Amino acid sequence: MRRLAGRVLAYVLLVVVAVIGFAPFVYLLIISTKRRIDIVAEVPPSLNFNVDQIVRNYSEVINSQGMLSFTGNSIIVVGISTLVALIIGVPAAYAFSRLRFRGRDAWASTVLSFRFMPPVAVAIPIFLMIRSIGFSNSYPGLIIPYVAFTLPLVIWIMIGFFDEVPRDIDDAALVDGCGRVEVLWRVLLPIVGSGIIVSAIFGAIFIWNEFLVALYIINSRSLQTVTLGAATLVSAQRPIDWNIAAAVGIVTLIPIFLFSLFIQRYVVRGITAGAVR
Amino acid sequence: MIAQADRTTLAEQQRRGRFRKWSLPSRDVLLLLGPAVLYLIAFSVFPLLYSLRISFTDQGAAQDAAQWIGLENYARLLSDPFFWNAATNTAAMVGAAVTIQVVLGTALAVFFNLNLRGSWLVRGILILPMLLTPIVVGVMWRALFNPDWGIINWALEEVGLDAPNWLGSTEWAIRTLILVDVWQWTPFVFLIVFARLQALSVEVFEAAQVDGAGAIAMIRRITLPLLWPAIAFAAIFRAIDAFRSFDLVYGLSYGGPARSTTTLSFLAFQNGFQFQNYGYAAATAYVMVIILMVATTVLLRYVRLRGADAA
Amino acid sequence: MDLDKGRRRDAVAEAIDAVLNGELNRREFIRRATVLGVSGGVISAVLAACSGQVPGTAAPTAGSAAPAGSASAAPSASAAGGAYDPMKYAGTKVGILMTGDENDHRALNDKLADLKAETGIELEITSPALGPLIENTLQNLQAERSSFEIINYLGFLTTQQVGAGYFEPLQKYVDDPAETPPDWDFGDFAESNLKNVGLYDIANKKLGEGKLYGIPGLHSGSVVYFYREDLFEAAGLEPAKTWDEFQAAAEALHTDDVAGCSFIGANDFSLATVDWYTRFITIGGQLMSGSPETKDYKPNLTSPEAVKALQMIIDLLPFAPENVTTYGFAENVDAFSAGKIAQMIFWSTIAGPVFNTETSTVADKTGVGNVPADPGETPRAILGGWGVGIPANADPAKKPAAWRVLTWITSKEFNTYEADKYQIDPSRNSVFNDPALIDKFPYLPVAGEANANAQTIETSILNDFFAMNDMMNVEFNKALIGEQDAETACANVQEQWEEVLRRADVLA
Repeated sequence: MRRLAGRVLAYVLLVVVAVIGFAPFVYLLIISTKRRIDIVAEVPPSLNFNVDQIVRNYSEVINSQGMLSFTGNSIIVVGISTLVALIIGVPAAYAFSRLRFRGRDAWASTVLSFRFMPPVAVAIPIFLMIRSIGFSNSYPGLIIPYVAFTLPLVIWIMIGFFDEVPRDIDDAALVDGCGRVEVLWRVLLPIVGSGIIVSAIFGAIFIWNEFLVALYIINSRSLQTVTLGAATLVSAQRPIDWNIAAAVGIVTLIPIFLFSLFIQRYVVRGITAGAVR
Repeated sequence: MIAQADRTTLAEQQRRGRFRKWSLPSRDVLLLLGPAVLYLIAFSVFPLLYSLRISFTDQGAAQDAAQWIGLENYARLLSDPFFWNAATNTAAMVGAAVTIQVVLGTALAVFFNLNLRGSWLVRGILILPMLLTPIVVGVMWRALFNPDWGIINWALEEVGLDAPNWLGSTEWAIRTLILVDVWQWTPFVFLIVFARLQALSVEVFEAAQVDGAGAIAMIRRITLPLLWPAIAFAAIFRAIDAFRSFDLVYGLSYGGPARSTTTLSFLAFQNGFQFQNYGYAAATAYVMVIILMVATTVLLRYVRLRGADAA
Repeated sequence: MDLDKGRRRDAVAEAIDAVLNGELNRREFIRRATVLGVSGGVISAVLAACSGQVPGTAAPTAGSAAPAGSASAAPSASAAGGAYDPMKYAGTKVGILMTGDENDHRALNDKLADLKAETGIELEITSPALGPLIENTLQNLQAERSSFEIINYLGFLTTQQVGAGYFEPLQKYVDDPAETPPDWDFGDFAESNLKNVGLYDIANKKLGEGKLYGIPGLHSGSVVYFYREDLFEAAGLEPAKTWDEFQAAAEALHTDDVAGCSFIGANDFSLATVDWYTRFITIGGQLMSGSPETKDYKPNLTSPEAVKALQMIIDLLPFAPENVTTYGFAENVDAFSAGKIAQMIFWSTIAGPVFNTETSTVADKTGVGNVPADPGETPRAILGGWGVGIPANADPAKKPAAWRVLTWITSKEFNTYEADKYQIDPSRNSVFNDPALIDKFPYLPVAGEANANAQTIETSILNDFFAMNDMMNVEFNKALIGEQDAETACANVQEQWEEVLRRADVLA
C-alpha cells in the first residue's frame, strides 16, 4: 500500500516537472494564435481557436516579417561557420589529445578559456576588424567571428572524444606507415563520428542563438538572422505585437524542438562534455 | 571505498596517456594545430588585446583621437556606485542561481534515476529551455509574468494568492531573473549529474541495501559522495556562465528597475554600446575578463581532471 | 520646356512680379514656376514674401528665407543650372544608412522600384538598430570616405553628428532649380523640425541657427494627450487643459476596470523625456542654465518645478493602473488599446495602433488633444524625429544624385505614403493637414500642432544625452516605486548629472 502511494506520488511529481518545463511553451503557442487585442483583453486566453487568425499571424511572420529569409540566412551562416570550425578544430583537438609538445597544457587551457570570455569584451573590436577588412553586412562578416567563438567549443568537446579512443589504434596505424594526418583522416574520424555530431550540434545552437555580434555586423533586413529578426520585433520604444512575437518564438523553436527530440542522445552527450554555450 | 578505487584507475589511465613518449616531428603539430591557433590569435586574442588598449583610453563617440588616460577608467570603476551595484547583482546571480540549480538538479537526477515509465519524454522536455534563443526566453517570460494579462498572475489570483511585482520592484526583479535562470539551467545540472548516476554500477546500491541502509542514508552516504565530481563540474560551468549573464537580462528586464538586475556584462553593454563610452565600458569588461581568466585557469584544471569521469 | 535661358529668366521674373502684385493666384504661380524650373524653396519663399504666411505651412526659417527671400534672388537661382531633369542621374547607385528600429526602412523598401522608375537611381538601404546605427554613422563620418551618400540621424544626436561638421551644407542644392524638384516644397517643413535636425551654427556651436545641413525626415513626432471621449462625456467632464484638470479627471474617472490615467512608470527612456519633461516645461521649468562654452552648464533639477513635476506623477499613482511602475511603451499602448486607461500623454506615434480597430477596442472612443499646461504656458513637449543629410566626405561625384534621392524620400508623396501605410508621423505640415489622410486618421492635425510647438530637449546637445537620460529614469522610477521621495530623486539626478557635465568639461 505504501509502495503504491509512493509510486503514485512519484508519477505526480514527474507530471509536475513536465508541466513546469513545458507549460511556458504551450502558453507561447496559445498567444501566437490570437489577435493582439485578445491577448490583452482576454485573461486567461480562451481555447477557441480561429483558424483564420492562426493563418494570418503565421503568414505575417513568414511572409511580411521576412522570417523565411531570416531562417535562410541563419541556415547559411550556421552551416558554413560550423563546417569551418570543425575543419579547423578537429585536427587541433586531435593534436591536443595525442601529440606531446612544449606548453601543451598551457595552450590547451588558453584555448579553452576563450569559451568563457564575455562577448561584450570583444564585440566592439570584432566589429571594427570586420569593417576594416570590408566584410561588414555580409555572410563572411558573421562567419569569421562565429568560427572564432565555436572553435574552443569544438576543440573542447573533441579532445574528450579523442581521449576516449585507445591510443593503440593510432599506434597500429602509425606502425603501418601512415602519417599523423592520414591516421586522423582515415582511422580516427570514423571512430569519433558521434563526437563530431555533438560538436556540430552545439556549435550550431550557439550560432543560431548569437545576438550581440550579429546586431553590430548585419545592417540590412535582407541579411538578418532569425535572432535579429526576432529582436527587432520587441524593441523597447514601440508597441509589442505579442501575437506576432509569440509566433516568431514558435517558429524559431521548431528546429530546436526537433533537435532535442530526435537527437536527445547527442545533446545529453554534448552537455555532459560541457558543451552548452 | 568504491569512489576511491574509481578515481585511482582514472588517474592511472590519465597518467599513462600523458607521459607516454612520442617522438614526433613538430611538422605534425604545426599542421594540425597551426590553423586553429592562428585563427584564434587573429580573431580572439587580438580583439581581446584591442579591448585592453581601449580600456586605457577615454574613447567615446565623437572623439576622433582618443586620449591615453592610463588606469583612470579602472580607478573610476572602483568609486562608481553603478559598478559595485552591478558587481553585487552579478554575485547574487552566481550565488543564488547556481546554488538552487545544483540542489534542484541533483534532486531531479536522483528522482529520475527511479527510471519511471515515460521519464525519457520528460527528459526531452527538460532539454528544451537550454537550447532556446535568449530573446525568445525573454519574450516568453515577459508574457507569462505580465502583471495585467499574464497567465501566472491570473493563476495565483485564482488560488487566492497575491502575485508579487515580478519585474516591477527592485526587491523582486532580481529574484525573477534568478527564477527564470533556474528554469532554464537546472536541467543542465540535472543532465550531468544524471549521466554520472546512470554510469554508477547497480551493485554499489544493492550492497548498501543488504547492509540495511535506509533510502535517505543511502543518498547521503553513498550517492552524494559518488556524484560529487559531477556536481562540482556542473556548478563550475554554471557559475562561469551566470557570471557573464547578459542575454537573459537583455531579453527579460533590460537591467531594471532601478538597475536592480544590471549585471556586469549588461553594465558594460550599456556604457559601451548604448552610451558610447567605449573606454569605460572596455575597462568594465576587462575586470570581468581578468576575473574569468583567473577563475578558468584555476578551475579548468579541476574540471579536466574530474569532468572526464563525470561525463 | 524648350525655352532658352534668357527667355526663361524673364518669364520667371514676370511670374514673380505678377504674384507679388497680386495679379496671379498661388496655384497658377506654382504651376507656372514649376514649368519654368523654379525650385520649391524659391516658390515658397516668394509666396511667403507676398502673403506673409502660407496657409498650412510654417513661416520660412532663416535658412530658407535668407538666400531666396526677395524676388530678385529668384532669377539668379534659376539661372544657376538648367531645367530640372528627373533622370539626370539615372544609373547612379546611392547608399543610405538609416534606422531599422522604426518602420521607415520598410516604407522606403516598398518604394524602391518607384524611385528607380522616376529617377533612374538605384538606392541601397542599410538599416541597423539604433546602437549599431550610431556606431556605423560615426565610423563613416570619421573615415576618409563615407560609404554612404545619405545618412539618417536621430534628432537627439544632431549636435554630436552635424555639429562636428561632418555634413554637407545643403542650401546650394535647395536653391538650385536644376537639382531640386519643382514640387519639393522646402517651406512645408515645420520650423521646429528644421531647428532640431536641420540648422546648425558650427562656429558658435548653436543648434537651430546657421547653415542648413539636414532635412527633416523620414519622420518626426512629439507628444499628445490621449483621452477616452466616452468616459469624459459620461462623467460630464471636458478633456484636461491644465495639469490640475488632468489630476481631477484622473480622480473622477478612476474605477476598478479603468484607470483614471496612466504614464510611463517603468525605468524607460520615455519616463523622463515624455512624462516628466512635458510636465516640467509646462509648469515653467527650465532644464539647464548657463552654457557649455562658459563652462557653467548646470542642471536645475533641484528647482521647485523639477521636484513638483515628479511629485505630480507620484500623486497620480493611486489613479493609475495597478502595475504602472512596470509600464513602458508597450504596456501603456496595450492597456490603452484594451480600454483600461482613461487618459494619458504619449508619443503621437502610437495614434496609429490606437485608432486601428484591428489592434484597439477604443478606436472610435478616443480623442486627441494638446498636452495639458499650466495657465499661461504653451502646451508643448519634447521633440522627437530624425534628420537626413549628405556626409561631407561622401563621393563628390555622387552627391547631386544623393540630393536627388534625399528630396525624393522627403517629398510630400513619400511622406504621405509613410503616414498612410504605417502611420509614421510625417515631417511636412501639408501631410499633417492632408484632408484625405485626416479622414482616415483624425488625430493628424493635433499631432502636427504638437510637432510644430515641440521643443528640443536641452541635454541633447551633449554626447552623454542617453546616459544622462538613463540616470534620470532610474532615479525617477525609484521614486515611483516608493524607494525615495521626489526631492531625493531630483537631488540624486542633479548630483549624477553634474558629475557627467564636469567630466565632459562643460561645467567647472
